Amino acid sequence: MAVDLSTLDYGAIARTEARRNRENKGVFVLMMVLSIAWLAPFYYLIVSVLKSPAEYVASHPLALPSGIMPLFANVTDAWVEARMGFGVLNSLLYGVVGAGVAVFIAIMAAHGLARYRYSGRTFWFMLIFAGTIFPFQMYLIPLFFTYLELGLLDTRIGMILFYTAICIPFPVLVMRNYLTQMSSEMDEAARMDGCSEFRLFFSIILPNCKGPFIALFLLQFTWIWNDLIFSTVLTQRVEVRSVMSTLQVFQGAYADVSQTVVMAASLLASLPTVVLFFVLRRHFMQGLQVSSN
Amino acid sequence: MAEVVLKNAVKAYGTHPAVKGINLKIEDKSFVALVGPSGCGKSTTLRMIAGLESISYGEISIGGEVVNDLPSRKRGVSMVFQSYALYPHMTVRKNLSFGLRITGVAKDEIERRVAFAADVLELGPYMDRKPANLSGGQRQRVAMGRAIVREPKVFLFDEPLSNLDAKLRNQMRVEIKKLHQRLHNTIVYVTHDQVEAMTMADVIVIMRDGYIEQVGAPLDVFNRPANKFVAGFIGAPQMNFFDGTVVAGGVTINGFDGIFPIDPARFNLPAVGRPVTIGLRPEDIVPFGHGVQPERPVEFEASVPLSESLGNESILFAETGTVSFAARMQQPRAVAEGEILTFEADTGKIHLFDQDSGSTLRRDPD
Repeated sequence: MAVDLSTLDYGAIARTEARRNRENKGVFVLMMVLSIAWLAPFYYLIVSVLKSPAEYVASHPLALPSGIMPLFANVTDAWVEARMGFGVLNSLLYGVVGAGVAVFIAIMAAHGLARYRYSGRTFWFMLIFAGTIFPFQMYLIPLFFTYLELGLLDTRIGMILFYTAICIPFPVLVMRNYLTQMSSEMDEAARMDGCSEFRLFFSIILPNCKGPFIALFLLQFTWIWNDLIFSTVLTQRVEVRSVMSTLQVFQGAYADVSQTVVMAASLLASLPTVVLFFVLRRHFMQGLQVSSN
Repeated sequence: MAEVVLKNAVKAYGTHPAVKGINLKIEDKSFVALVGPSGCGKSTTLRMIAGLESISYGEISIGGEVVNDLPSRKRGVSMVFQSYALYPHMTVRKNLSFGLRITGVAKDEIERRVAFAADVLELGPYMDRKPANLSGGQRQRVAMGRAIVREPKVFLFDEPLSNLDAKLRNQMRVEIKKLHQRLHNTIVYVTHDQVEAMTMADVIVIMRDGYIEQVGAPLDVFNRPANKFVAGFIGAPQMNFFDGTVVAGGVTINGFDGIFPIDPARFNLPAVGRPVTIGLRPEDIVPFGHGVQPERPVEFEASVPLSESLGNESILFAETGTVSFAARMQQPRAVAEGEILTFEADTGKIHLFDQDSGSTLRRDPD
């Protein structure tokens, strides 16, 4: 018997489908609660930067602001007080150069580890990979004294070197998996087409790593941008400090600034990574997709 | 001249030889298929010719020049890979021209060759697309185009059709054959599919376990297999093999009454009473009265517990006594399960093999 599609009760079908979805109501409520808990600090940040210091003291911390004009004063105060200009520029330098160079070197290393056969390649991979298993804090003291010895302490080049080095191992792991899955017949085709090994890397392999390159760059840039401990220990001068350690001037017994200015500074400091994420979002998602295939 | 000659070519991985000293002469402008089951060394042989595997021992020459120590790009060969191996980040046009650009071919020459390849393979509408936006058949054609633009002395194909669906595979088979008729390059084509080998090649090389079992024209290999392995590998459904015994005036299948008369001028028959392997293709055992009338039939009855109907013909899986076999029914009709039919075996088409070595007992020439 064929189904007569014109006489079906579509309303009843829709109601049954809707009932199936409503059964997940409990989960939905739980998710709502979690979302609110997670968003609360952001709410606090937003309402705080919109209040003048006087308004902040007078009202409840979570109360809505009366206007948006105090924002500009807060931002200006934060920028000037903490001399954030240096911090932002330094962090941009460390982040872009450190993450960029690190991911590039990682792709080269992964290319060698994934696409050539030689004895000991697992050993080399494990050696590099070991860089991700120890807590980074472990490097802190030896690094401090080594830098002291070499005169790299409190220098931009020292910071760039450190960030580049520490950002290599994890991308090597990701890129090695990615490049292992890429067809090796492509390399052979390129060699038959007349490619040297360098040409093969730069003309064929590297352009096909764009997705994971951007994803990894973003991850490592964010890590460098957000790093506090190494920047604090390895730098002193405000001209060399990264943005996160710059913010520390607001902390401590002698700090005398309103919470609204602190919040404005935090907002300024977190803007670049957020912007970068939205600009590169599409590539970021694609890059992660490919690497998880 | 672009003949390819392999002399005692060996490929060993560690102590394990994958290609065990093969000698083969591939004539200029011929289409040669290397065929055999997985692990027979056919792909390794092709990759040795391509320069993607080193040659452990022996010598390979292309167009008279020994190429053992030449890198791939200097051998004048181009290859079409099973996975196509297109460059995903380049458009079709760039995929085609990449090899020429990096080797410094003049710009108008590149354009001429790319246009020619695009024309031959009808790639015109896709030139500015990337491989991800092409269908399997289109990618296959781009891969062939990339091989064509290099104007190689020899084309190498490594199972190029195995990623395509059956319908497209049949189409591409015809296209590759046409391509060969048009370009007249030497082609070495590796496949595990004996149908591809039979339909496309001028010469079939059947390999097993690192050795060449037989070299010959498709019909020659089909009609006069050198041994039991080749007989079983070429032809579908597979040839029926029976344990038999030599009797006065012919051979008989063990467990079967009839005698198949054998002309001693055609076969080196062992002494009476000796065992022998008898081979008969399904199309040479036919149900009586279905369009085919064998010249020298031996008639017998058998039951048919199972049959496969293909529309234009049926394959019958029949049994008589302890002997079971496959038969081909032309002009098919429905066959009931277990129905008893009269079959005629064509003794003129019989194959005999030595039971121990598997070698044919046929006298040359036939």
